[in-house]
Amino acid sequence: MRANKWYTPWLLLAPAVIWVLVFSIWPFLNTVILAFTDARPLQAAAFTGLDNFGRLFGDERFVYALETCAVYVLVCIPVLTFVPLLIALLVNSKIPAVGFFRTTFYFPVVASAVVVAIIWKWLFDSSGLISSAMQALHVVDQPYAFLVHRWSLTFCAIGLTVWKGLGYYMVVYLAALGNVSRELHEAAALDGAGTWARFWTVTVPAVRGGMVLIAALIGVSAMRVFSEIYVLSNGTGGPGGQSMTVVMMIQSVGKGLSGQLGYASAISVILFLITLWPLLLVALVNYGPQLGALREKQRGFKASKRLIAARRREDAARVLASTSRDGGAR
Amino acid sequence: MHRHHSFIPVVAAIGAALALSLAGCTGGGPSTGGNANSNSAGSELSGSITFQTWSLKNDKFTPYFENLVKDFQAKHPGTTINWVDQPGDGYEDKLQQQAGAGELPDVVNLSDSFAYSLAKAGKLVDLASADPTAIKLYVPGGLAGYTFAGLTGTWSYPWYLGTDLSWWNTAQLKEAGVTIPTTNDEFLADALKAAQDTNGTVRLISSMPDITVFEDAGVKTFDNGKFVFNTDKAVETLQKYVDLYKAGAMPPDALNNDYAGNSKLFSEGKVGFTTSTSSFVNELTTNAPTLLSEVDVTKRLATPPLFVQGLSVAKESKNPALALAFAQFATNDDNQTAFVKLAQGFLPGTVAANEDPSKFMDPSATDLMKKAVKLAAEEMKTAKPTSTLQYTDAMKQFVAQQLALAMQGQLTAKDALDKAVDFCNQNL
Repeated sequence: MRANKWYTPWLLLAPAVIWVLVFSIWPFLNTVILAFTDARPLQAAAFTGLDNFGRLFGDERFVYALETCAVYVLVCIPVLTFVPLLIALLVNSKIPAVGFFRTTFYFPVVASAVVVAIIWKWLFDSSGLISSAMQALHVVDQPYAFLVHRWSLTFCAIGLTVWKGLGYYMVVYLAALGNVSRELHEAAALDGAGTWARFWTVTVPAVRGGMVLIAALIGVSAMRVFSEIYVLSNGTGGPGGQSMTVVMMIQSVGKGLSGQLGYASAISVILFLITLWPLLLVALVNYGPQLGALREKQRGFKASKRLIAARRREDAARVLASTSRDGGAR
Repeated sequence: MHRHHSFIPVVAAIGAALALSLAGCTGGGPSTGGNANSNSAGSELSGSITFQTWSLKNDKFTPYFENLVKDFQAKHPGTTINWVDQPGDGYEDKLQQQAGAGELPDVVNLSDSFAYSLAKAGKLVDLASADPTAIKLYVPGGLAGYTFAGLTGTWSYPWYLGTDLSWWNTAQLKEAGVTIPTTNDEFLADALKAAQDTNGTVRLISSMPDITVFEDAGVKTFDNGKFVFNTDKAVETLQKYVDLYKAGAMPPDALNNDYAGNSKLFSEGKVGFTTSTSSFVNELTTNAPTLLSEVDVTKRLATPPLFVQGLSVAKESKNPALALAFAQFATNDDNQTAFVKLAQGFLPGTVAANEDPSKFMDPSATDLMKKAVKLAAEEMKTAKPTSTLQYTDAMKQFVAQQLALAMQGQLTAKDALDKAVDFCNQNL
């Protein structure tokens, strides 16, 4: 049998490595570099230091975008973490035609976000179904345009995200619920735990890992939301651009032949740093005990090192004292 | 040792491929490429070029372009024209990528604003100096659209031109007890009356005011390299629209509307007036056939805008003589006439082709279309191209956002205009 050349593994890895370098690492590094320049399409870029970042925090559009994303995160995380779990519990039970319900809940996931947003727009514009129904029920006198007011536009978009995301996270929970032992529920029931108590003491701890991951994924995607508000507001972000999201702002600032690529890159870098937090949180929750043990181990190692050093010092002092005593006697 | 040597070429090849890929991703700065005149004048045309159009590949136009290419190749044996068409969405981004990579097609369809950015970056051939005789064949208005302050030259051959007309829903006007106005002041007064008398059922203001509204009101928008549309006159003009919005003369959805939003609102019957090109008849025929019998068209109440599409030659073309010859061929009288015969509602870009509008009128066109084309041809004599090419899409969006806040009463007209002007000047 012929032995492989030493570079064979490298050659096999090369396509994947090149792919990652060209399509992930390089664009990322290029974005970081551009963030410190005044780059524009078809023009030579000049280094501008932290100017783009300084300008960013004085730009009211960025403040609006951060506020919109923060509201998105704060609403979407609890809603999309718990509601799909409840739906998963419902469709996990043995009832007739449960397969039909599972499929129905999953339908919105399959639909295109843009198409769904267009339908949502028909529902919520001033002559849409919701406004007409409100008028018919005498809730309002005049047609109400949900999509031209900051918070009603934002919450319409959140409603769309939630409706579209329920099915996806429901499937993740269904997989996690498959691992929850029936015996645990039976034991808890024997101990007198009701449905509510069993939900909090058996089901939730059992799916905790998945729940944390889902919360982090929702946090990241809520910070990066684009299609929903873009389509609902015709790309304007609503009056004053007050419902604009961070990604919409990046697109708006950087697009076209007169785009400000440097400034758009600076916003991208900030967005990247913000979206790191939920992932760090997952790491902390999932690997918290291991990290704690590692810290303890390190602490113990340092303490033992200190102890050894102290003993050495004591031994050295003792040797020195005996030497000087012996010398003095002589 | 030997096996290490055999590995070096592999590493070098991978490194070279990577470097080329990365260079491709990065793009490049302004180029100082060749010139259309670099080929010897009058030499036999040969070789191949790429000709790029913008959203014109469909059942209606594909046969036209295929024949155009075939005719040119038959006239100049040994030449090959590769026709490519780009989708409507994202055309600007596509141009940016092509120009950045030094791969702008030899002959490329550009609007005036795209031509301005590319000419500024040194990516286009100055057609006025490339062929000083040929340039005289085109309509002055069209050439003005491709002649930019601060840049010496003309950067595109006018190909097809359009302008806006006023479209009215006569049933809604009747309901509001008004007739088609003849001046802008009359129109604003009618819009207020219609909103008040019908309790907001008939709305005549279909779009947000924009920089052109101020220009029409006689406000200077750009002066000495700065935007200045926050004068008292501009504030007064904006305030009129704010009052009309409060009175219900404009549907709230208009605050979010993009460019074509007003004509869409008209097609949906939500407004009684809109501006659009003469080809709007086709849109109404497809999307709102029941509305068609109630629609009338008149000239614009204000200065008609000039929308112009042209054919430019890339400065980095490897076959500039062929590119120039094809650009002239595609925009000659016969080919332009044949093109606008298909693109009903648009006008050709050469002086001779415009002399007799009946030549490019489709005999099967409806009366409304014939009226629209006739009015557009008359309007074209006074139509003006976009006066401020420095006004980018990002500025347009920010200005619209601030004016929307003024409409809703969250900002005063003065504050909204001050903020808009500040932003535009900071982003020049």
